[in-house]
Amino acid sequence: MSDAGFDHTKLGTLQQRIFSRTVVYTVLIGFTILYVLPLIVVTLTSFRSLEDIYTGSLIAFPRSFDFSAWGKVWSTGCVGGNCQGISPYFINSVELVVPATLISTAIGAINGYALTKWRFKGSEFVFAFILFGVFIPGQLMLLPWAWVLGKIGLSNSTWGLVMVHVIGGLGFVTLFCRNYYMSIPDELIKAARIDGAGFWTIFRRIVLPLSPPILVVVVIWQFTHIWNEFLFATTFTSGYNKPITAALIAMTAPQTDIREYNVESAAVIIAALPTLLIYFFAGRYFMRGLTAGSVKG
Amino acid sequence: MSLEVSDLYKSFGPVEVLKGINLEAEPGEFVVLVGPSGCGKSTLLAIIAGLEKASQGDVVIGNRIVNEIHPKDRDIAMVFQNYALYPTMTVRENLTFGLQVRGIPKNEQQEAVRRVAEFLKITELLNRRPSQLSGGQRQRVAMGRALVRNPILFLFDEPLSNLDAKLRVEMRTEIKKLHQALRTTVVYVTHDQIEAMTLASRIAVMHGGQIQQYADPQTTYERPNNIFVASFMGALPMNLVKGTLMNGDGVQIRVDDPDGSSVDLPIPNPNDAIARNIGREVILGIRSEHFDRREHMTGDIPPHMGTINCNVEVTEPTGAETMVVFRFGDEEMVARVEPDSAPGPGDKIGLTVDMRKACIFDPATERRLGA
Amino acid sequence: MATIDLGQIKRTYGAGRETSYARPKPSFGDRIQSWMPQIVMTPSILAAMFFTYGFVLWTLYVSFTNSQMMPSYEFAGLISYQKLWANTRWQIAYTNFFLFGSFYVVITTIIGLALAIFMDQRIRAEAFFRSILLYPMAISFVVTGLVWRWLLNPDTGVEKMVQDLGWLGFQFDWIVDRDMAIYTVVFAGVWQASGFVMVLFLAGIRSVDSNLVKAAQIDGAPMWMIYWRIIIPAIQPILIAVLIILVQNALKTFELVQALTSGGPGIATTVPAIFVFDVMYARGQFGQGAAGAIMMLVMLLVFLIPYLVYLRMRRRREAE
Repeated sequence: MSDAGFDHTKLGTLQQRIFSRTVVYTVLIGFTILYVLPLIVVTLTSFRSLEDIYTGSLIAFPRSFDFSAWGKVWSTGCVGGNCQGISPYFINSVELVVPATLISTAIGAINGYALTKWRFKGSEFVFAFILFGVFIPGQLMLLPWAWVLGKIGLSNSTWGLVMVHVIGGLGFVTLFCRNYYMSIPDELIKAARIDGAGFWTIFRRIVLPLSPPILVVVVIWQFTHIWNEFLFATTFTSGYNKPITAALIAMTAPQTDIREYNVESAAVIIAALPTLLIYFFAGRYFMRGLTAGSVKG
Repeated sequence: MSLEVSDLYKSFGPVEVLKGINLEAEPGEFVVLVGPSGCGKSTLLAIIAGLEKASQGDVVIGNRIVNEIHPKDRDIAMVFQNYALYPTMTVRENLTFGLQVRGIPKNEQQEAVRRVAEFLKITELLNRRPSQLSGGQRQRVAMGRALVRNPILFLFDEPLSNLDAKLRVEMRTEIKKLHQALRTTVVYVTHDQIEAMTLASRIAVMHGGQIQQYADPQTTYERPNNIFVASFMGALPMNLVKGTLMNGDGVQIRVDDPDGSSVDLPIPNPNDAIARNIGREVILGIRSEHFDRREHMTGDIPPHMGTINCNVEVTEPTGAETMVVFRFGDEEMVARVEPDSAPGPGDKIGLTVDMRKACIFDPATERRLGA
Repeated sequence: MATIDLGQIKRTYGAGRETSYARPKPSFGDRIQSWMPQIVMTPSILAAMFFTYGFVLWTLYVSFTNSQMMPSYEFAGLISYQKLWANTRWQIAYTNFFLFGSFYVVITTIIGLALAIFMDQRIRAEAFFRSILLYPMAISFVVTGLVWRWLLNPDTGVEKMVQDLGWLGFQFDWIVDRDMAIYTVVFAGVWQASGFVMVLFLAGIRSVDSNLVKAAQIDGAPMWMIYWRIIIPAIQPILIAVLIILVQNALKTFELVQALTSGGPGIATTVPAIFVFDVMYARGQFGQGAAGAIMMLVMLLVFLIPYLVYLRMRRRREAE
């Protein structure tokens, strides 16, 4: 109820208001602690030495700040047998996410543009057809994809994963872009057609300059989703080609040696950092872009 | 001919939106397509522009049948209701966009822009973005974009609907002046019949996917083809009432009152169609300005005028005149009288009617007898 | 009267005026242009057809075979489905889905709604709270599962910490308890999703027409009643959308469980997604895996199709 002239929180007696204010802030702060706790614990753990960790629980303040875990995780930590640290897997993720996001966004924009500004017979059906794919659980696709990737020589490669993610993401990116482009007036396109511009000229000179809000949304969404994804990552690659989320599971699987919680914590932070940073810095553009094109239902 | 539309039909799926349109425009004409929403006028304009394809029939622009031709090659320009200015480009870029796409050399582009900007007085605006312009300025830039192309045909799609009333009147005059200066053929769509009357050389009144009448403004106003045109055109719709044609003192029409009395009004110069329908019930149409206070007539009443006595229900002063609402023949009618001679509500007054301007309509076909 | 003459058309008018017109045809480039949208959409359509629906159909077909280690293509009726339902692992997975699913959806919705209502109280630093509560959506399920695995582990997490503080009898070992482990999954899932749900509800609450609320206040209703009887019903569409999103999440839950408990202890927290994954690859029960995957799809459609119908009806009603 956002109404400038009316504030429902100013109702009631002073006592009632103090009481409800206290309750509200207590609950919110309580939840905030609960939410932030894991992040803090993991960060702090990465700065503790192993004996420090093993003499207590994970939920404790470091007795002294030990940065050795960080050096180790990058170049010498062990991931299921390979002890070259987590850097190759991080790079794998980058090599996967960047092309996949860019290609996916480009396709989504073009699809959304074609479907809304150049409506043809059956375009609504085509949209629903493409959209429905997002609901299908990934498990149904594992073996067929593995077979296809094998046939075209892309199994166990980053580009194979790129292909899987681009095709798997078609539904969402088309949805976002289509909903946004619906709000561009059709008359703009009509005027451009009369001016003599064709499909691609209109896209390049009129629609694309208007697209930044939704492109930001799509890029953030795809980046986050692909970076954090595990099922396809672990199925279609192995060993050195794994992206970082899959590597993380391999690294933290129960081992016979002493578990190096500090190294594992550092790995977790590194794995989570890119998406977290994007969220904290670009999050508001994401929200803004979503409401600009009203992505509903 | 600048434009010919012949036997045009258009359906969207099962819905037939245009049912046999025939239209031509001579070079330099200002043709207005007017009608209520849903009558098909915007669709017709879109088909002329090439933005939609007709289901059947031909569109001829210049001397070419353009059915298969893309909008950009039809030698037309279009001004839209919402201006449709490219928001990310400056005014200058908006004007040159079409020229750029065609590969016109840069110096010619700039020359065209200079010419048009001077003509429309938008030279100071050339480096601004559309979002920085007022409604009237945007409209002029939209027209500039059309002018720059030197087309055979100008198409306007309700360009003034988004402006407030005062601005609308101003821009209407500017459009008329533009047309007089350029003499390019115009096809103009609007739902506002005042715009149609003031701008058009010929008006095509549309309803239900068909052209009801295609004639100059005065004709559509004074001699409407059917009841629809009579009610639609004019600031006030034509007053309509049932009556019976009869032979009395010359051809007359008798209008009955629910209370049992009746009034006989003369029909001066009846045409053949009227003569053939003597004895039948018809519909009489009289425009509000053809009534006058009985008191104003000194001496005898001339044979072409009738008189009626009525009760005033409501009066509505508008400053320039007063509208008097009264009942006649069980219908509510409006008469326009000078404010000085305005009656009060409940008064009984006498009115004269100039029957030379009256129209008679067939109640079944709704067509005017003699149309 | 009309005569057709070569590439031109002659027309005769009532007044006897005859003119001929050229009838130009569009260029090749222009004709390609008019098909451009379809050309552009074709790759996506083909990709969806083959890689999405094609794969589903393939899995469907295999589910009707008796594949063991590798997919065979001999039609075998419902035998894989029978084996599936007789499989204890599947039964546990299936039960877990309903257990986990219902708790997850209900608790997340309630918490999300409650948080949204609290956030609607003109909080100072609202942006701050919102950022914090929403950030779990930005991290992967794997990270969430891992971190909570450590925190809920009796040897390293909360139990140990509390014991270290002196309370030696404190026990919180749900994660290794066969019967309670599934609730830890619920906990982690709720933790991850409630912020997102809160944001959706908040947007909905904020878009309720304030005149409704003013009218209720003039009628003397207290704030809690206004929330309960006016605002919550007004955001019904969002409520339903949230439920659908959560149910879908619950069904697809794989990474969270894998990271949190690896499906354990033993197979106590296995869910359909994990079952299908393990069985399709590891245990030579390919047909059952395919059948399980199809069951997952069916369960999804059971929730989805009524929702789509509901959306259609609502759109139609709004258009009237």
